Amino acid sequence: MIKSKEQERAKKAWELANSVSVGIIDKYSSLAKSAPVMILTNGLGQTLAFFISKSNGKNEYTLLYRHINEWLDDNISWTPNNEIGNDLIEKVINEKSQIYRMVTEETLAFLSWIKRFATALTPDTKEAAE
Amino acid sequence: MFKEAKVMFIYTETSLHCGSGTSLGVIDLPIQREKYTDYPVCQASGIKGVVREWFDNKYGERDSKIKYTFGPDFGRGDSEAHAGAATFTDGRLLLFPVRSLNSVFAYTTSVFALSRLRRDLEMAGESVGWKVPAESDKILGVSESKVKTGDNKVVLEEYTFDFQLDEGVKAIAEWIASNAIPQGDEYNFWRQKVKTDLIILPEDAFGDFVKLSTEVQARIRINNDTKTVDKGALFYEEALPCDSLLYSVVMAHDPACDNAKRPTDLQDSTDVMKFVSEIKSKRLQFGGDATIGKGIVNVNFLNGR
Repeated sequence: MIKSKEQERAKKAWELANSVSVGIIDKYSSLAKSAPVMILTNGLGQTLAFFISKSNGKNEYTLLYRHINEWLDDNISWTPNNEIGNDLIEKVINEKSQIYRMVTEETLAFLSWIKRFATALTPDTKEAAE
Repeated sequence: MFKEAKVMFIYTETSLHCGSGTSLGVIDLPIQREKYTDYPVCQASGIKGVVREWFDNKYGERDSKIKYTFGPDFGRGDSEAHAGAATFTDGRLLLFPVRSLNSVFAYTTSVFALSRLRRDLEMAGESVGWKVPAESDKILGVSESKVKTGDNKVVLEEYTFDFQLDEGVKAIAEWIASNAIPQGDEYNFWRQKVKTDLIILPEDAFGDFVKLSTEVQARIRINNDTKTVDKGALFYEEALPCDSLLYSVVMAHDPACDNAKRPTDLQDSTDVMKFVSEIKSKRLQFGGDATIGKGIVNVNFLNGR
């Protein structure tokens, strides 16, 4: 059966949100909640750069960055560019306007699933509820 | 079927929140959007309600002209059902302001938005001297354009586009300046600005901007004891920015009752149109959040008629 794009996003988001350890899920969840607004107000590039600046290799910023990367890697046709590395931020900042906007929309669509699942998986749902 | 029609332009002076309730998406309180384009829209019922309220305030809500123009109000004791004589269409988006590297912001529109305006003008019996340019993957603008950079680019927010000269845009910009933007002296700046800074975006780009570049505001509730944010009291609200231009087609019918019952100065569709046109050049408040200054708009009719 053909799956809709939304179903694919949901499936991946469910898988990734479940891979987040219990100790960090509440932080991950609140970051996933604020990330879409950060993207809308500051732009995708700025937001990803902020994640990198906060990242320590294992915290929620690292994880969410990695998860967005994992989804976009398989779902965006990046413009081939041999002069840059394979890192998400490099691809994003070197991409032309049209694809950049497409990546932004795709990220937002994906994050709305991540945000919902992460909230659902947070043990203290009362606090996580908006 | 209607007998007369006029295009009513709605220019936002403060950001406008015509809300669509709650959502599961990124923003908690999004604005109304058209299903098939995702363009922001103001539903006709909201426009009609606001216009009616303006007349209520001016003439008193029991005025019979209001009753026959907008329909009976059963909440206030009207007993007889009949249709109102004025019809409003949804407020469609024509100009959307986008932050620009040069000249602060640009008035953006698209071939589709302009084509639809032409069609709606045709319905209102108006013909215009301008043509909608052919679609392009570049940004179309006039030679006086202040939003283009020295190397023939336009930078909108964080996106760069190629600029293409199209003198056909001039006629559209002139027409918008003298017909759609409010005509008062206080609008001199904006009428001049639209003449130089109107640009026509590629269809996809315009669609993306009206989706991703609306205002998003964080709203909170302060806990009075701690003076910090109450738990769970943060929400995000979307709004159409200031300096957007929407339009609605206003149609008039004859009042829906026997000639004898009609108020003396509301005899036919011409009178109805004349009556509704009293809101010309007036400021109205559309949408939600009235008490925090949202939704102040200036209303204008084509040709000022």
